[in-house]
Amino acid sequence: MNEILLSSEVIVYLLSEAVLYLLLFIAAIATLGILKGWNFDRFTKRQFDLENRSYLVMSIIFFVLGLKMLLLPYFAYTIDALSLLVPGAMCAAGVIDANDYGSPLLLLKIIILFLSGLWLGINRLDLEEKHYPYMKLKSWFYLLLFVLLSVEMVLDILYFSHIETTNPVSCCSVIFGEIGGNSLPFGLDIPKLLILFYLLYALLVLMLFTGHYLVRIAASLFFAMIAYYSVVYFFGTYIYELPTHRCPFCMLQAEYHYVGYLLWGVLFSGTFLAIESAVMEGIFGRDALKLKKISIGLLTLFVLLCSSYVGLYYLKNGVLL
Amino acid sequence: MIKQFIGSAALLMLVTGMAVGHYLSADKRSHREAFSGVVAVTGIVSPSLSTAFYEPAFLGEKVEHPASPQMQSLNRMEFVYAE
Amino acid sequence: MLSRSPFLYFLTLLLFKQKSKHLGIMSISVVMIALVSAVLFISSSLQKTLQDTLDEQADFTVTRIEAGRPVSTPLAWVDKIIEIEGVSEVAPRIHGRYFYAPGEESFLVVGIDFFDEQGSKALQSLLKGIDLKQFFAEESMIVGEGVKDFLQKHYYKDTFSFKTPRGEFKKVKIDEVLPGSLNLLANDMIIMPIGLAREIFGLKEDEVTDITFNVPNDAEWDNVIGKLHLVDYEIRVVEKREVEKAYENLYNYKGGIFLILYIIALLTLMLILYQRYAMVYSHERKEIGILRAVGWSIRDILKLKFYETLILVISSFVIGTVAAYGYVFVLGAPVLIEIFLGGANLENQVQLIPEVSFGTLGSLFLLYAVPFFAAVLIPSWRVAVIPPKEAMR
Repeated sequence: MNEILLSSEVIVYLLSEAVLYLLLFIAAIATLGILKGWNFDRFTKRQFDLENRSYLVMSIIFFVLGLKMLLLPYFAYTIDALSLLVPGAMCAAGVIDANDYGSPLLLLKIIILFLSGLWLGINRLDLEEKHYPYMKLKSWFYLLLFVLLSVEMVLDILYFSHIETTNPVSCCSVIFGEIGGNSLPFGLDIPKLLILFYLLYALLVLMLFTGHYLVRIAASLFFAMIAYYSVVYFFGTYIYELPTHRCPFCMLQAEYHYVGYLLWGVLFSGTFLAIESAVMEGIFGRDALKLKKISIGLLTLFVLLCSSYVGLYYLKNGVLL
Repeated sequence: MIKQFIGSAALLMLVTGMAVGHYLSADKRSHREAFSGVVAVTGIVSPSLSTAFYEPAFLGEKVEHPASPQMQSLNRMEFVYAE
Repeated sequence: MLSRSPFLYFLTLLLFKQKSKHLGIMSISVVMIALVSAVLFISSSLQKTLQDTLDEQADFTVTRIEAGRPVSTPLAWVDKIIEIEGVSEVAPRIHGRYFYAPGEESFLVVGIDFFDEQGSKALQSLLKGIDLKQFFAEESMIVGEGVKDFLQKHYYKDTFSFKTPRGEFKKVKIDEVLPGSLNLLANDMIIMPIGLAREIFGLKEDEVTDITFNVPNDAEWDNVIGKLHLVDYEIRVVEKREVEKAYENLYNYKGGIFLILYIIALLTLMLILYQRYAMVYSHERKEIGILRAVGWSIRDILKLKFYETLILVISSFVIGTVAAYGYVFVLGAPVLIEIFLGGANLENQVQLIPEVSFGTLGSLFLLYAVPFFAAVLIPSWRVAVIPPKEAMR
């Protein structure tokens, strides 16, 4: 038992995750039952029960996923709060790297949110039809999600119980700075990165109106990645107004008006909706105009928000960093 | 019933608004300056713990239980502020 | 427009026509939220206040240790410490607890060097209108509010007689009283000239309690610690960093242990909620059956139940936190504050500075809302899927 586990944010976080996991577990068992006995053409009491049970699964997943969306920012907030306890950490970046479980956990959380958003989309399609055509598909999909969620739960516990409060960790300027030898991928430099960033944005917006679904998915993922690097290595320095400060986490703090939550949230949901629209149109043959509109709106907001920091800095100081 | 609902929602908003108003109107700065002033004069930052004479009264001071150093005594301030 | 929505109408109808069903649960929830919020509010306020004063605190404090116990520190160390490079503002201090035997109580006596320019300036800005000349005309002191109340109760109106270790009595005039808003730091404090304090504690001319100093360049800190240990073998160094961490832990330990115990209460609440709503909803079978029969789908019923729960959760959360806010920051958290400040010595009536962060509120909401919803989810599903025909039978 160390100080980390006694911090109230960690307790609240782990308790919430555990309660939600309990519900997910119930849902997983119910799903197994559904998969075993589902046959829509039968008129037995068993089939009727299973249909009812699917409502339980649905409402549990609905509820849990809604909360998971809140818990991801809360997780970021928690590790940010822990940075005061872990020696050497100035923000969440150091705490995430405090042991080997941190970064996979964060990545897994994002993947889970993506997949569960897709699950909700399929579920909506399923409910629109009379015969529950995607019941088998979404049940299997949920079981896959449940495996990931179990891994997440285990990682959660491992991560928080293995943060050392005696060993100093590196600060974000070491992890992302030039000292760490951590540089941009594909041999890019800052101007090329920026060109790529705006080009990919344009490409993604164009792709939203064409039928090349695979290209659209690839473009979204690639854009998300390049956007991440651009924010860390270029736009972030304008948020912090310091050319050497490169960190994806510090902007979550109050000094920067919590803009990180907005920035990453907008990027995440914009990319997600673009991918979801591709899946809806490509695999299920549905019209996803609304999704596309919201997606474009969010992505544009993201690009404008990033660019405005640079623009405002230039207007205020007359120079670029 | 809807009237009652709106009425109680308005009541909740009102109490929240009162709390927020109190929070925003609280004069935190002069308090903070006064506290900093005391520390500047005395150099003592620990809160004024109301402890018995033989108990450590400053935060961060380590004094173990003489009879059983491993055991945590419940009725002393070290239990509250221990590391 | 709102009143046209049959959904909203039915929702409010459910809530207000059957108040008694929810009242019990509401009141338990409000009490539980108010309790946990009060504890978190107190600790975050204390923590914030203390951390704000950290800037004023010296980077290092050194004392002499003899056989593991702190003893009086030789004044000669001051010269040795000044010689270390990078050190500034070296100041010897005299402070300690004075035990007042008849009342079994003790005060914190702090000796101040009034001839030190910085110290007297800080004092003048703290107590506006203090006349330092008059202060020195006779032996006088400045006391905290708790000390003043205590002395008044024991009939020391204007002066107090200290008993020195030599057995002499030292009469000291009560010159000023520190304002009550400073009680958090200065309730049991007595500030007096350093010479007077030395006499009261029976220290020799070349002895002080401890020595503080700053090292402006924090890259030098570890280096300085190494050099300090060369000054004397019996030296103990307390760093500001340690104190800082102690403040951070102040919040965690108390809040943490409390929260772990609180989880047990929370799980009990979940169980009560589960059983209670299973019962309540089974009484509602007929209504739900009628709704289903007039064309509401299972999803509509689930939605109804969800909003019903949401309204309960939000209103009890608001009532609970606002009540806790008033209790802590308006009333000063009577009784509960004693857990944080103790009650073994002088009575301390503190005024806590309001400090509520989004993070605290978010934690409180998650802590309460997640178990609440989780407990109600299965009972509401159970009642929603009852076939209408069966329900009305």
